[in-house]
Amino acid sequence: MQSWSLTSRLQPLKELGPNDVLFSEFLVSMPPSTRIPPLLQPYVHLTDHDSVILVTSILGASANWLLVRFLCEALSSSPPHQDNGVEEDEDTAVVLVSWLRDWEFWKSEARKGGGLDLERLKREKRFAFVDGLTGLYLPPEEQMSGEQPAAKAEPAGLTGVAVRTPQTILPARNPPRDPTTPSSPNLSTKPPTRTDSSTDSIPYPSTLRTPSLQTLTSTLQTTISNLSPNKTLLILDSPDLLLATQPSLTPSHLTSTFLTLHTHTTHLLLHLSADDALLASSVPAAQPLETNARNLLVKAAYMSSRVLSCRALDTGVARDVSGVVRVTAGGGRGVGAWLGRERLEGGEEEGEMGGEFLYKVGGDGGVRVFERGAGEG
Amino acid sequence: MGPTTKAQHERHSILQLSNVLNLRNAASPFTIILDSLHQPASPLVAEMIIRGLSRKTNIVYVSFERKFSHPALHTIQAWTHSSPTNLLSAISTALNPHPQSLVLIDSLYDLLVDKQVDLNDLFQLIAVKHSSSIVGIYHTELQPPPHDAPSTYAPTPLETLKYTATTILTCASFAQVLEEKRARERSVAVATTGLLSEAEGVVQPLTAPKNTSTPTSTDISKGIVIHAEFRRRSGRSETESFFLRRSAPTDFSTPSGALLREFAILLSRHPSFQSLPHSHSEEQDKEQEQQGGGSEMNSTFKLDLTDKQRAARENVVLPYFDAQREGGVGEGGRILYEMGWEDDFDEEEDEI
Repeated sequence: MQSWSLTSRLQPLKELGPNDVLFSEFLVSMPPSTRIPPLLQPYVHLTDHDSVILVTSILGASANWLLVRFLCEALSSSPPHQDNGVEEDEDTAVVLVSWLRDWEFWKSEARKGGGLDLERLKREKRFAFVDGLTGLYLPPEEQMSGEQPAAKAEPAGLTGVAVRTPQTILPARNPPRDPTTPSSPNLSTKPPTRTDSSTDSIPYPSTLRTPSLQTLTSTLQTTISNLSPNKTLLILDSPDLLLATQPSLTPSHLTSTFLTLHTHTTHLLLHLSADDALLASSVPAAQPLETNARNLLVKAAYMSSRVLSCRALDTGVARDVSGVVRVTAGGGRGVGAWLGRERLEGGEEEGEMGGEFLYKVGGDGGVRVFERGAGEG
Repeated sequence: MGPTTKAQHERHSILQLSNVLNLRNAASPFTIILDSLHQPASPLVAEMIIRGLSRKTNIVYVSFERKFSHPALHTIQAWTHSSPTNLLSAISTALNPHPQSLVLIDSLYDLLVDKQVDLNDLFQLIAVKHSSSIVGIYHTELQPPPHDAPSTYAPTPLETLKYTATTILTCASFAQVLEEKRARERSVAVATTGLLSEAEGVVQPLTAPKNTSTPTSTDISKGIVIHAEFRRRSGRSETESFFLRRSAPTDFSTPSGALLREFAILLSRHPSFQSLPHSHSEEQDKEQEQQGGGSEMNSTFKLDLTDKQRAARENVVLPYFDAQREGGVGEGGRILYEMGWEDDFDEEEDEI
């Protein structure tokens, strides 16, 4: 009832164009911590002890908004002014590895949904992006060789919006190159120049060039060691893609790699897909990929101390609900950590964890999270 | 001679579980814990560790799922070991100086299927050579990779494990056990939950469903249900279900750390499990006793009669009594029949 009157009161405002702009600017200037819905806050919060968090999504209910909330939580812990150059030790740094989405996507998503300026955070060495999408399976073409001068030419003071421009001008600046240029020298020379640029004052997103897990581990090790704070959150977005692209990989290879990476960080966030089509066995005999995807998800769920799974609304599509997010306790905390706390406090900290909420991702990137039945009429 | 009375049986079963949990008398050299995402095994494992530590047992934690453990445990980061011999020698060095230890294996699936450790070698090393016990966790959701099976007819790793284990502990969520029981009482289908059986995208079922009654939900997070199968040397197996609550520091004596009293109970003795089916009938019995009439049904309809109604009912003359009376309404049993339009009356044959 109240929402009705609210919207009707907002109606005349909306007709004015400039007001909309003002409103969105106001949103961007909001501190990122306020972008986290209060109901979700305890589940997005990073615990003091090391942890693994699993986020799952399906095709109809993506969890990108949730990852952005985790970014907000991790990156907004300290005031944005760091002009004095003194870094606090309590800061959390984030390394985001994405196999399905590129840098531009995450940059705009974080700005829109979380009010985060990832470029600036990158310069402050609190954020690093590792690109697993563009460099792995696409042939190294002129786009990549053209990217390098663009990165070099980029002035240090550019903010999010302006960075886009070099890429759009790019084809005009670079005349079509000879595609017959041997690609192997390109491959061998590019990575070192990239690491050079990443050690510059402006660390450019590093790109994974080979799908092997060793490359992933070593790239991430250097990336993590380049970041200043001692508390790090490593986000692996859709590593299950590797299962499909490399049939020789087993889920255990991946989980071992996750654990190895976890030894270098404090928090590890895995984002996997949980679509039935990927997990359910075919009827006569299960396909290896189905078994592997399922086993990876199950293992990840056992490894993690918190599972957040996004899914579509059970009752069908609704205009005011984007989906359901379920929070469960996963395979439990590490037995050792559990023991330690049990002995010290004898207590119950995350035992009660669990619940289901509905969420609505707005067109402006804002998210409302509410209990069932508590949405606007 | 098995236990004869119910109380004896109860004491016997709890002693058996207690022996397994406390690693007493080498009761079970090879215990497997089957868990699922409905109820992960970590509370049970933590309980075993606490009890093991209280008895100053050397505990070796072979970890495939955690990067670290507890300083009191000897943790082997098994995921870093590449070959089975490496892993076995690591376990061996961890066991060496101690007379008796407990080897906890995080994930038997990884050990047997992925690392290809031979179960016989493991058993030989731990149980025979070091006379220690093995406790391994197997996640029941994991499927063996189809291409790894040596032959189509070879048993799955889980079947092999179930065959060799001396004790099988299956973890179940207390909330779910209650839910199942409630459904069984009403002869309705139990709602399936969890990965691939609920809505698409669900990974783990909610531990405490919203619609369960509130008084039980406080117990739910505090304990787990264990369906145990103990195998005797003779080959006979005994099964029983237990409820194991979370231990509190008060359960252990302060200076020595020894367990004061076994607190695992039979599931059937748990108050909320007991009260669940009987609560209705007991209350009804009480109500009936209060009302004084044992034959009355408890319903929303008013089925009893007032005195006036009863008298009126008794005055009604039923038709068959009426028919027996000579010269009454029915004229002594004459058949009253009115012809319909479709009746073809034949005067010669029928005479009324």
